[in-house]
Amino acid sequence: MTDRPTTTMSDADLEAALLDLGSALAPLPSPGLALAVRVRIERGDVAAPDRPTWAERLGLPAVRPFRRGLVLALAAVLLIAGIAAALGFGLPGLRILIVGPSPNPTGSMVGPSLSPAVPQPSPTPPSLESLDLGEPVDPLVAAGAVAYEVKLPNLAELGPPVGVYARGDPPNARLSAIYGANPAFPAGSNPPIVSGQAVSIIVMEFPGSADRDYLKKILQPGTTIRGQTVNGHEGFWIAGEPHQLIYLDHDGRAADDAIRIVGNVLAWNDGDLTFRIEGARDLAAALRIAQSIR
Amino acid sequence: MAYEDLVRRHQDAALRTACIVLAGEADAEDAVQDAFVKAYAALGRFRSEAPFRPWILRIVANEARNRRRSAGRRVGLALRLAEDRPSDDAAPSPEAAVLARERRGALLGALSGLSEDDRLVLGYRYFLDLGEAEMAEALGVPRGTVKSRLSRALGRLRTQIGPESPLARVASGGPDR
Repeated sequence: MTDRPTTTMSDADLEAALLDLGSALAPLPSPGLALAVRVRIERGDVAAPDRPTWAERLGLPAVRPFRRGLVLALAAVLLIAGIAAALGFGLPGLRILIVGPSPNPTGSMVGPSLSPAVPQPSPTPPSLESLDLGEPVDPLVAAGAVAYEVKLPNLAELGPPVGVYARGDPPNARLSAIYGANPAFPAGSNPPIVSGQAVSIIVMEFPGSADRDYLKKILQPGTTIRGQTVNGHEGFWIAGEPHQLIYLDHDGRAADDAIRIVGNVLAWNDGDLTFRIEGARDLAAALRIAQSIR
Repeated sequence: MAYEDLVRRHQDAALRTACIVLAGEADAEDAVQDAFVKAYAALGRFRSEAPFRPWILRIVANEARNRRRSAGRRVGLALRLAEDRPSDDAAPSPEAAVLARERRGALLGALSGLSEDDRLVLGYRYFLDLGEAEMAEALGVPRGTVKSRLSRALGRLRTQIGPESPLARVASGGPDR
C-alpha cells in the first residue's frame, strides 16, 4: 500500500468536504414550532416591544404590556424546559411542550397562578369535527384501517365506545375511541356531543416510532405533569387547568384549527405504540381504564 | 399571523444553527422556539431595511449558547447525517457510500471538537450558505473580520482532523479516493 497520510488538507479539499457534509445532513423537521411560537406570543409570554414600530408597520398584533411577572414566568419557562428535558417529559409520538409552569419540590410540575391568557373552553359544545378524530371505522375491522394491533378498554363501568375513528394512513394512522358520559365517568364542563351523548373519555392509540412529533402538547399555567407508570410502562399524568393539544397532520404540519382544549390526560408508551386517555376526572379513574386495555 | 409565516420561513436555518451549538435536537428546538418568542418582543429594535435571517440567527445562536452554558460544558453537536438514499442511476456503489459516510462522520467528529464560534462561522458558510454580509450580521462582527475568522476556523478544523482521519487519507490522494 502506497498510501501516505498527511496531516494537511488544502482549503479547497476542506471546503469541498464541508459543502458535501452540509448537503448530507439530516433534515430537521419541526412541525408545530411556528404554531407553538404563535401560541406563546398570543398568550402574552413576551414583553411588549420597546419600540414596536416595525411590527406595527407590518400590521403584526401588539403584545401585552411589559409586566415584571411575565418576565419571571418566562424565566420559569426556560428553567422548566431544561428540567422537562432532563426528566424526559415526552413519549414516542407525543411531545410535551412546557409553557409557563414553575417547579414544585415534589418532582411534579405545576403552573404558576399568573395566567394572563389561558384559553377558556368555549361555551358552545365542541363538535365531532372539531375533535379531528378522522373517519369512523368499525371496531371489529379497525386493525385493518391502522395496520397495527388495536387495543381498546374492556371495562364494564365504561361501556362500549360511542364511536371509533381512524385518522391518517397506515402505518401512521391514529385510532381514537370515544365513550359517553355515565355516573362512573362523568363528562367535564362543556363536553363534545356525539350521537346525542356527552363525550367523557377519549382513548387514543398511535404508533410513536413512526413520527415522534405526531402530537404536541402545550401545558398551560395551572397544569401539572408527573411521571406515572402505566401497566409497567413509562408514562405521564397531566392534570389541572385545561391545556392545549396541538394536533399535527399526517405530514407533520400543524393546522390553525387543530388546537383544542383538553382535560386530564394519561399517556404511556407500550412497545411501538403510544396510548393516551383523555378526560378522566382523576388518576385512579384513568388507571382503571388503562388497566383494562387489551 | 404574519410572524408565524416568518417563523416557518426561517425555522430550518434557525434549527440548523441551534444544532451547531447544542448537542441535542430537542434542546435545539426549544432554543429556537424561545429565540423566536424573544425576537418578537425585540422587533422594535430590528431595522426594517435589514435582512431578517441573520438577525434571527444571531438571537438563536445566543439562546443556544445560553442553554449550553447553563447545562454545563457538553461536547458534541446535534447535527446528524441523513440516511443514505440511492435515488437515481448515479447513486454511488455500496462501498463508495460507506466511505463517504465514514468521511462525513469523521468531519462531524472534527467539528464537534471546535469551539462554538468556529463551528458557527463554518456552519453559516458551508451549511447555511450565508454570504459574507449575512455572516457578519449573524456573527455580530465587522464584515472585514469574517474572512479571517473563517480562515482561522478552517485551520483549526484541519488540525482537528489529524493524520489518521479518513479525510486526511482522501487529501493524500491514496487509494480511497
